[in-house]
Amino acid sequence: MRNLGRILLFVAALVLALLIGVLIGQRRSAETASEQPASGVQITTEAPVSAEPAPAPLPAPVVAPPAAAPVTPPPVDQQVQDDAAAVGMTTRDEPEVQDEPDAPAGAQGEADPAPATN
Amino acid sequence: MFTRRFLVSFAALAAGSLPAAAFGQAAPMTAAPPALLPRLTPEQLALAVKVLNAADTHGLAKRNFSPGDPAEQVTSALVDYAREIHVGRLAPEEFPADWAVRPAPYDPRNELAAAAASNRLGEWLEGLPPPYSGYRALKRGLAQYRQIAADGGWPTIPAGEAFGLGASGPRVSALRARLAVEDKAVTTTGASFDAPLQQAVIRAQRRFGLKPDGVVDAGTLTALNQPVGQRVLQIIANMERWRWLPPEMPATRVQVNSGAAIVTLFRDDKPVLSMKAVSGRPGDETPMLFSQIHSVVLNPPWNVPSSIANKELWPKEKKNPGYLKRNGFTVISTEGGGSRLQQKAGDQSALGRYKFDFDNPFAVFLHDTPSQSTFSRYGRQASHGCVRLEKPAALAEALLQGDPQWTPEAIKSTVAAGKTVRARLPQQIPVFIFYWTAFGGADGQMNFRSDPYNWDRMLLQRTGTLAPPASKA
Repeated sequence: MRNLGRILLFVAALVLALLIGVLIGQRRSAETASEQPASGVQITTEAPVSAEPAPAPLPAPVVAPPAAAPVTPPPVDQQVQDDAAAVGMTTRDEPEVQDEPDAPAGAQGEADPAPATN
Repeated sequence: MFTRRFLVSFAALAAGSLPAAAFGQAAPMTAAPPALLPRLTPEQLALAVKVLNAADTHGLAKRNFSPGDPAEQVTSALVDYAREIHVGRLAPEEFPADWAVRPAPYDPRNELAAAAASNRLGEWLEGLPPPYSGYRALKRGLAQYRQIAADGGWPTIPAGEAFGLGASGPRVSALRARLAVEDKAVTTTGASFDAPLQQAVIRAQRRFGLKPDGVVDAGTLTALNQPVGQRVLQIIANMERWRWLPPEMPATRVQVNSGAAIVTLFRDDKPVLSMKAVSGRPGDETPMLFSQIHSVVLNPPWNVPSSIANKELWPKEKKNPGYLKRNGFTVISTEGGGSRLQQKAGDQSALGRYKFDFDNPFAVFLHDTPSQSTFSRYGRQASHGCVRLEKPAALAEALLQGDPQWTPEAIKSTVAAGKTVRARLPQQIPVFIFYWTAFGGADGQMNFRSDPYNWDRMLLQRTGTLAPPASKA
């Protein structure tokens, strides 16, 4: 009886080992099959064409201030003339001449042969 | 000549003194009672109609007379015109206190009668407007800017970032079109900001009193985008002010423009020295006035007006104890138990090393300043009403010239010694403080300033050119 038990235990262990071996073999076989291309599928080494990623928002452009011209004061004499105009050019002018100059002054009346013009 | 205008202030100048009347009170007129309106001949009436219908060329209200209009109506209008073009349109009571440059009342009827009787009406009329080249320049400018307005004015440059050399686009095109209206050297084609356009911007900035760097920044844009009608109004306001001047200026004089913050010394009627100034800030406007500089104070102490002491200095002392002492102020007791502040002479003194004294009721004068940085600004309305000078030493030397006691070396050594000394001028020098915001430049181009005191608008309202301000309920 004791020997029969040992034999059964050995057989059970052997069956279990076989089952494990079969299961491992099946799994490896399945992995190998899945690496094969499916019918109609082309294998290529080129990178797949993917959609362009959304552009990241650019930082606000740094606007350089416009180039300023060097400030060069006018010559002193010119500056004095400009300033004189700015404070009121009080140089005296001759009166503006009317389009029609005055007629010479003279007595007016019936006896005056030359009529006055103003 | 038939010009009979006597400014109250000018009469005082001629007399060598300036009574209170010089600063705003009208002097009694002693002229003969006014004549009745004269009867003009048909030829004189025709001339009168012609002159009246051209009144708008002087910035006065347009008149529309015909040769057939009633003689009395034309003659009466001629009297009004003569008064307006000779002394302006404001009655004495319409001048604010700080417009202390005022002509005496003027009734032209006697002169008109005399001119008509002597058949010299044309000569009399020609002599009525201000006889100065500055006025003539404005008259030409008025015609020019009215023509620009009639032609459609100028385009507005769209708002945006400052731009300059190298820029391009529609704003540059608008800039070209805008500048070309006043500057015939500018070509209107092209949308790029090139070197010639930069030079044109610089010229415009000089005409507006802005920093001439060729960059169209906010200030330049504001000046360029002023409507042409605004410029016309500015010219009219400034022409009105010319009518308040004396009929003849002293050959040697100091002239100040508080609107542009510029001072010029004339000698023998020619400008010989000019400098930047700092005039009163809005709210503390430098008054318009005539007076005479009688002395130069070297190393002046500053007797602080109570308004400045109470509003500015004492609050600083409370906030920062020791402020007054650190800045050279002392408290001086006055009669009646009061006190006042005085800043001792020296480097800290707000008056600097030179003060130019002249009588006036506003307690303003010309002086040096330790705040030199303000002169590098292009808007220089920053004082409490006094006029700060960029080159006070040069002005002191020029005014004391001819006094053997006050050679340039003597002035310098006295200033260096630090002692307060009053140097009386050998001859008083007239000083005129005006407010100009439009003037013809030395090159004939019109120059404009920004009306920092808003006095152009006030004047135009008082003359009826603009509607009066809405009254407060």
